[in-house]
Amino acid sequence: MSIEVRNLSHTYAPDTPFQAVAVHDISFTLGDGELVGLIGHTGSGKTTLVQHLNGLMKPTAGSVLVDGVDLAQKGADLAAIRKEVGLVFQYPEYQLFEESVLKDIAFGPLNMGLGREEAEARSREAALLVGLPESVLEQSPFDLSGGQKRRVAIAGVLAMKPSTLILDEPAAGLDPAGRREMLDLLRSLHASRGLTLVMVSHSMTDVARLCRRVLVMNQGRLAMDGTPGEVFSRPEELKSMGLGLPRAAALALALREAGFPIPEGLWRMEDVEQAILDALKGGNGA
Amino acid sequence: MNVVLGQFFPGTSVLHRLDPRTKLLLTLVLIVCIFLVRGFLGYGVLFLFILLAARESKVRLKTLFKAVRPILFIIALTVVLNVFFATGGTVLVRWSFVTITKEGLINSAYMALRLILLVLGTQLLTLTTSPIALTDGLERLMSPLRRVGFPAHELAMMMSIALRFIPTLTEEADKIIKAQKARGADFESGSLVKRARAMLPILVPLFVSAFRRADELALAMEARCYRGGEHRTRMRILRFTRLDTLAFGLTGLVLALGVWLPV
Repeated sequence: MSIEVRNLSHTYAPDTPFQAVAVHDISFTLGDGELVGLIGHTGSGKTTLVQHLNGLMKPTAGSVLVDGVDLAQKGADLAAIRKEVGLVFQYPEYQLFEESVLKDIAFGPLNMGLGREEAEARSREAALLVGLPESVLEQSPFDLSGGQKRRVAIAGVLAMKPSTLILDEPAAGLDPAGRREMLDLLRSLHASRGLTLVMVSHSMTDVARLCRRVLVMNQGRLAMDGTPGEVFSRPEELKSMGLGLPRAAALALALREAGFPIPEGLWRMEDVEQAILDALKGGNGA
Repeated sequence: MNVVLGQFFPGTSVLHRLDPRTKLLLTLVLIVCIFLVRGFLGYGVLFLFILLAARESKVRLKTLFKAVRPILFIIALTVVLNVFFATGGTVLVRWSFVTITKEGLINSAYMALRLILLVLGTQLLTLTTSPIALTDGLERLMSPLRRVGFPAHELAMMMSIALRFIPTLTEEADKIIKAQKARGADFESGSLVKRARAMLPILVPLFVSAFRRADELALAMEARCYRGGEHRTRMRILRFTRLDTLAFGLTGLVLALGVWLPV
């Protein structure tokens, strides 16, 4: 499953005084099994962009192709595409509505036309996958904690067995422990199921921890597209877009500017740690 | 989603600067006059007056007339009913059970004009008055009724809160609809019962979130010591100015002319 975005633009409320260009002339391709971070300042168009990837929004110009099928084309099977490209919204816990956790997770599979039993089996599997204990499945989703509600919502999308999973700010509003758990969950989903994963975020640190490719958006345009090493080696540009460096990269930069022999292009905590140790050893030896 | 409710266009024109009470009262008088006017000449005067006022306020005519579109059906219905079912008067056409009279035609034209003028007048009010000013004005106008136990302040507060949350809830609904669509929900096909049931996954989260917001808002208001209208002072105190006197005089004259003009 590949997603190809070609010169995508989207304008809200065109030809009115409230006209606003949210996304402008964006092109990129998502390959199978990629782990991508989509990063940008608030209002840079991230959310608008991802809502195009499963046909929830229609482009004003340009096109989105999923496995070669143009989503804006008449007769494109959007139901099938939404099954393949799962989208988890920001604060997805506010979309829960069923009486029990299990029923809520089964909403997607049932919409796909699966039978009760099959839908329930898939839901149990998805609940297990996101780490929900068996005991909550019969509870009302409204009685769970915020972090657990979010897991229920993610399970609701996973139960449709998408091959691509897009999450809009999955760690927003979680405490540090919850953030770490969420990132671990996403990493294990990617590893165990070979999902293509797109995480929308404005936290460089989260993206650095998880992703192998980073797309940077700025004022509706795609400003950068590369490996974390490439993107984080342009701190000045990132700063001008209101974005920072991940903590480890920021530390490495500060030390290098202070005259310590820290090599460029480091952004993983472990690598920076090693470089600092090496620098200290070198310093002592001289 | 496009909600044209209390769509306020900020500006600095005379109409914008008028006291909201003036505008409310004058709109009320205008509404009464619309029903007192006796002929096309009078309607012409009122129509011209509204157009000139709109021009002064720099509101685009297109925006003003947008208000008429939603009631086009009602207008068409009243016109049809009046044309076909009016009795008596000079018969123009008689065809099987349908009779069209001159009076019927004139009456239906009056009805259509009245409806259009009503909508234009009130639209001009909401286009040039912010919702906050509007509820402020309403509260002040209704405050004499407090003596007989009428909850003027509470009503005004409820109105401003309701207006304030319309865009928020619209946005929320839009988001929930999209989220459920992403989970394969189908709102467009199937029988009426099936489609009504399909609304459940939207309505439940929407209600939950509305109650949550209401709860949070109540808490935030209490944390800021809100105790209802008693002894509450205002940041912006409404004061009638010379502009308001002028507006009352001018509008009074024009409306009087409109009502006085013969058939």
